[in-house]
Amino acid sequence: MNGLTTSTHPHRPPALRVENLHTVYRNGAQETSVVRGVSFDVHSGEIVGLVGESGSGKSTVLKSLLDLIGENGQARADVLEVAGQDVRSLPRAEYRRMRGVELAFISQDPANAFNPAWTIGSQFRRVLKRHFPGMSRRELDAWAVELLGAVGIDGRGKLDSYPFQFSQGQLQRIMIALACASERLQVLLADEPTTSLDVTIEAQVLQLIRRLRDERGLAVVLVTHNLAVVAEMCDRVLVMYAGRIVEDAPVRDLFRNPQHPYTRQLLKSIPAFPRDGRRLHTMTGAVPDLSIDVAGCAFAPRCEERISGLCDTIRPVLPPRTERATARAACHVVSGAVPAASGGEGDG
Amino acid sequence: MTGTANDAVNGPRPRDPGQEPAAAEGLARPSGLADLVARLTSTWVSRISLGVLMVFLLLAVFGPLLAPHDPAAMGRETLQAPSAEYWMGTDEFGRDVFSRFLQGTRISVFVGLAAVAIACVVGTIAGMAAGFSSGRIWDGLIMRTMDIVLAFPLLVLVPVVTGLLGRSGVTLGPVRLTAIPLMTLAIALVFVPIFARVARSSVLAEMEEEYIVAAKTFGARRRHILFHNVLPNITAPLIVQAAFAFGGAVVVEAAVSFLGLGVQAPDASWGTLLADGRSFLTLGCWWLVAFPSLALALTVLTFNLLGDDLRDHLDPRVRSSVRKFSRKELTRS
Repeated sequence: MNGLTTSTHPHRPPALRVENLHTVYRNGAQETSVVRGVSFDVHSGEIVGLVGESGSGKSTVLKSLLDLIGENGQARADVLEVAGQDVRSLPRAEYRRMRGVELAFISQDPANAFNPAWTIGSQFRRVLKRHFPGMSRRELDAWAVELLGAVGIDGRGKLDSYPFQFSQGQLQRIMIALACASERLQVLLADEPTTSLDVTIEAQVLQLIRRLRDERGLAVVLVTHNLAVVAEMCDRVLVMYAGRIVEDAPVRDLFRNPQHPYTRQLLKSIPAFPRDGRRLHTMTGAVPDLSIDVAGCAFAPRCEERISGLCDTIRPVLPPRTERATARAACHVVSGAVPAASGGEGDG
Repeated sequence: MTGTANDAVNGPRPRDPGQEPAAAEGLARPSGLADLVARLTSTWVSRISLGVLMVFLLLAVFGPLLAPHDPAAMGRETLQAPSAEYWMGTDEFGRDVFSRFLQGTRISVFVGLAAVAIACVVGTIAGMAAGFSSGRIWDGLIMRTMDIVLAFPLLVLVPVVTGLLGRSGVTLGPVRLTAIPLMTLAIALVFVPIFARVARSSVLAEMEEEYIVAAKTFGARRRHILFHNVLPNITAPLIVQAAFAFGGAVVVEAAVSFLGLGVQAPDASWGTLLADGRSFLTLGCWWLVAFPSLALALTVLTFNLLGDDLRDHLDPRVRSSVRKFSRKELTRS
């Protein structure tokens, strides 16, 4: 609770603080290091985007935070604080009790996130009973209808319907209602919450998440590979590559003046109107094999600005956070003598 | 007649533009048992098999009350062909075959039901425990035990158990197990691995589902996940399996009794009736063999058809997609 390290908001501890998270999957004798020393914190009322290609470890970070890494994996961190409490020191059962109360999760597939065998109402009752043990069935139902109303669904008469009777967008909104049913909720983890939805519904769901953040001061981690969603939603963005954070920037800076060559290439790969008709930028190469730990920068083989002799031998580190939360990138080109290429990637 | 009350009675209405009409119509509230019965009576085959099932169940429960004669009473008219007096004829001791058939039906059906019920409960619990601890010591222990049981041929294990222990009976504390309960347990034992395997593989599949992850993120405890989230979703294959297993259990009981190692003398089952009547077949006394055989064949056929039907109708996911329209509606349009 008492400020352990320098924080950008010295008056208030972050709602979620992760220090040096490592997640390793074991497959027989082979070890695959999926998350390699990720540190970040999220403050109340802040939406932090976690972006990167498939296999960059974004979702694994969330799974590690939720203690959902299976038998064949292991997550370690120096600090893992949720709502000011270091959950690593908690017994497993104690941390289980925090999940769904102080920390909630929204998955990318709302249709399968509900148990098909139970009605929506009974699934609501079961969750609400944890938060309000004394409530009668009638009160629980009334509360469920209220919560559904808050996410724009008229729940009257629908509590006896099964999940398959709702559309994807409705289910995702119901899921958000369920996740936010706890009054003590502080951290919301969303793993590509809108990937399975069409664009109109996506906008509704994103707006809903933003509204909940505003109303309840939630700290939100939004995993996505949709940079448009990032631009619209996030306050700060963490760009992940091969299990590490390569850039941490306020959302404006990220789009106006991307630092890391990877971020720049990512932004160049977005189809955009002004460049219409021209061939879209394609990144060469592929995401590296995570079972091999290279000595230098993991992005070096695909990097257009690689400094040979440096980038492939010495790993660049993410500079520590400064008082002013400016952009920082783990890259020799950015931090070294070589000046960063003049931005100009902003799409106007 | 307010909108809300109406909705509560009739389920969702396509009033809300966000609500998909397909989801709201017809499918509103699949109300458990009534819905299942409606689905199970949607075709002639399923109607007939349900009817036959009901007849056998009624005969098993009330049969001995309907018996026109004392099944053990011997008469002077031996080996009589079926007549108005003796509906299924008489045997070599002049006993009424119909009365004995009713008595046998009760034992055959009850032994089958009890064996399947025991096997289903034990097998499901064992399989779920194995599936939940998949890859760990309990999984191996439970499933290898099941493999050992499965390694014995059906028709060897049951007769050995009943043959060795059935004559004298086994005393377990205050309970004394005679031949019939022992045989029931032996048949149950043989069917346990089938349920355990189905339960385990279903649990393994369900544990990968997104809603289990969701339940975990909501802080559900393991017991809750297993019994509230997993169990309701694996009942469908288990019930289907139970229907098939019932046919099998009845046949095993008949076979063991036919060999003289199951149901013993004053009692009758379809198997003992067949065994008793077999030697008189050459004398043209077809009625001694025909009715128990017919009953056996009908039972197996009925339960296999029923199992197929249940498989089609029980799964909530199949129910949601494939069975939106009954076959009748499809053919009509």
